[in-house]
Amino acid sequence: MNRWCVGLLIAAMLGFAGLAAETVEITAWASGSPVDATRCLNLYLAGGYLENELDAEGAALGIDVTCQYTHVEDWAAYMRRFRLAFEAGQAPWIFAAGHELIGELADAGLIIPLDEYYEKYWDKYELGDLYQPLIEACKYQGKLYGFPQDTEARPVYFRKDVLRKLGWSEEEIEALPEKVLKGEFTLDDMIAVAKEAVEKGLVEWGIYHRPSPGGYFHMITMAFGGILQDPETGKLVLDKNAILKNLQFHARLVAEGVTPAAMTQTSWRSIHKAVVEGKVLFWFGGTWHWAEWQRVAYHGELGTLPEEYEWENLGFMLVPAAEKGGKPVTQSHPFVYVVTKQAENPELAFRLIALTAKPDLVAKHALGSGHLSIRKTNTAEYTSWKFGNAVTYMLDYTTTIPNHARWSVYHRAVYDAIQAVETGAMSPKEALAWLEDKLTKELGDELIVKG
Amino acid sequence: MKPKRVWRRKRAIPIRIPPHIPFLLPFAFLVTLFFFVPVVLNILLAFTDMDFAMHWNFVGLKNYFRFFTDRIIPKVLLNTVIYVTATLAINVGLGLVLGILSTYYVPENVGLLFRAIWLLPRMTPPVVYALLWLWVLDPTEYGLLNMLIGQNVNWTMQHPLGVVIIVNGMVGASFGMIIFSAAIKSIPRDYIMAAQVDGASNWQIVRRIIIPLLRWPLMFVTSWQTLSLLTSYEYILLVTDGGPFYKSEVWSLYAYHTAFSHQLYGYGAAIAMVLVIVAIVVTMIMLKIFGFRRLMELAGGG
Repeated sequence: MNRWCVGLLIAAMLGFAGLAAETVEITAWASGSPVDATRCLNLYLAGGYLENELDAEGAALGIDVTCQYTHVEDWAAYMRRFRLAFEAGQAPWIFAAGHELIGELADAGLIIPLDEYYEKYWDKYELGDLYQPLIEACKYQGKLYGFPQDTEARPVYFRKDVLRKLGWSEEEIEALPEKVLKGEFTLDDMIAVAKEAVEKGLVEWGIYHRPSPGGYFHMITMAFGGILQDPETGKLVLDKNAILKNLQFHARLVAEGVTPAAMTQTSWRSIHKAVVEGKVLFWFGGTWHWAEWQRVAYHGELGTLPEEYEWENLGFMLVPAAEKGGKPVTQSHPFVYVVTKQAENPELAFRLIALTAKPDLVAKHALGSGHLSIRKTNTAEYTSWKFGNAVTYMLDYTTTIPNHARWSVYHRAVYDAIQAVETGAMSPKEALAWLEDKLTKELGDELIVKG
Repeated sequence: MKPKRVWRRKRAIPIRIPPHIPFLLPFAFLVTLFFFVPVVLNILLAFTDMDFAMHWNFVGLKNYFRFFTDRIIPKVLLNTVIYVTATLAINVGLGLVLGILSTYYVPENVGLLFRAIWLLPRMTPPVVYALLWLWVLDPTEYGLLNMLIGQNVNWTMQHPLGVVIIVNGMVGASFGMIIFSAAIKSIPRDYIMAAQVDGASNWQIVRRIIIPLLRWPLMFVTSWQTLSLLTSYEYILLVTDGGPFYKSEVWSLYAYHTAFSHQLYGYGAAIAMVLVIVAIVVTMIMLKIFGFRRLMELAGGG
């Protein structure tokens, strides 16, 4: 009897062990604003799809996704954490980051190229339906290192209620995005309107921009006709003319009294609060803020904003051109999933992230976070999304930041220079000289100084 | 009577371990692991151009040349001198005032309470202490300081270095206070009583008896605090993060930012190495000025 019991016990244990061996644990890290948690959630849902697929293929394999989501305000710190986790052998299989970090990650040998999987699964997952430029954004030195997760546009939001108080008619307000599109309303006009609103006491500040390093600062360089990367060699470019104009623009924002000198010292929370409460007229934001304001209680009285309130009081437009008749701009920052070198089964990791591009998951993330779809064919829910439809035209005017191994150095230095001119630590010309000195020393051959 | 059988082991050459060695070993191990190994790694690191990729790519003295041509360095050095001097003055000066007040001028139990209150920031985790300051200094009308003065001043932007000095001074003063009050208590009461009998005023007692007898504690607190101020940056990191645009960036924080924010580990290590050398020189000078040798002689019973 006893023997039978022991035998059964051993059999049961072996059985459990067998079951356990057939479950693959896929680990991931994702990050973003408070509304981007779908970057993780979609991986869990895709895990279910992957399990079904594997079942159908006859490979009875359980997929257990563990994803860690971080609300990031300091990207350098987030990258550092990943770097150290990798060094300690604790890196996740999948890491979600901005596309521009691919260069740095690939150069450090932390992530693997995914070309063979793209080829193998191109038809199965209908990857041809993804927007090609987004796949291009995953390319570094000719290889595809990432898989698109989302994209967006960075509009300038304006308070309609403030413009009304300034005496603008409804037609004039509704026509503003169109005027920007045609190059009739420029950055100068924007400063003038902002100044008028401040002087009349309608708002505390006229124009707000982000307080931490980000694509915005380079978007302004591009608005002034600058480039960031040499298309031929892939080297970074210090476009002195455009950067000087960028620095002068920010110095002027402060000098005209429309932007606080301490803009870069202002917390994200107080920025959002000021925007949703109408204490600032223009805000260089991003499409995801539309969703963030609906989900995070920034407004002192209303808490989270109902979408009707947003349509009533907030408008959005491209970043106005620098000169009359010029071209307005915006910026997209495709977010990508990369597969790390510590992934034990990179193919499964790739299949998991490719499955997050299924239309239902894409729509779920887009609507929930104010990001835009990465594919051409979308669900009915997405195609009838009012805000998404209203901003999609912006993608025709979009720019991106470069994929370069030393991008972080350039990125941070430009931000520092802008902070220096805004706080009055340097004049725009001094800041440019400092920037040139710093970047030529740090980037050496990887930098082309233009102009 | 049978002689007792004596088991004699083969006589080995005795290895005599001095009795203090076993006591020192754990510390020696810890110091080696957490001090000497990192120091050696740092010295090596300073000769590489290690960045995010973390490759040990030796480049000779390049980082040191760069240190001397870095345009931010003069600003950082000046900040460091101002920060260390001013904070030290608060730490030692205020510490001394607090020490004398809480031991000489007020009754024992009141002094104890007073000291406990001043020790609170020391017991608070730095992040909490820094957050409290950020609330006090908030640039909006909700900032405590702004509420008190009735206007909106952006303290961390307009006076970044001043803010950093006060924040560090307030937390640092408690260290001096504890050392000084303990030292004052060890002054024999007879001296003070004798002076009182002779009709000395409180000020005269402080000036002629207490302060001269605090010479060694003063020396200790000054040199200890100088070194700790040169190398610590956590409160600055939390309150101003060295900004705006390096206005409150000090040497150790610049090394930290270079290594960990800009991910230039090699150059960051070189900046820290130069700081270590400077710290050693400063220490030597201080010990010379204060007559450290004489203190050691006294301690040895000389």
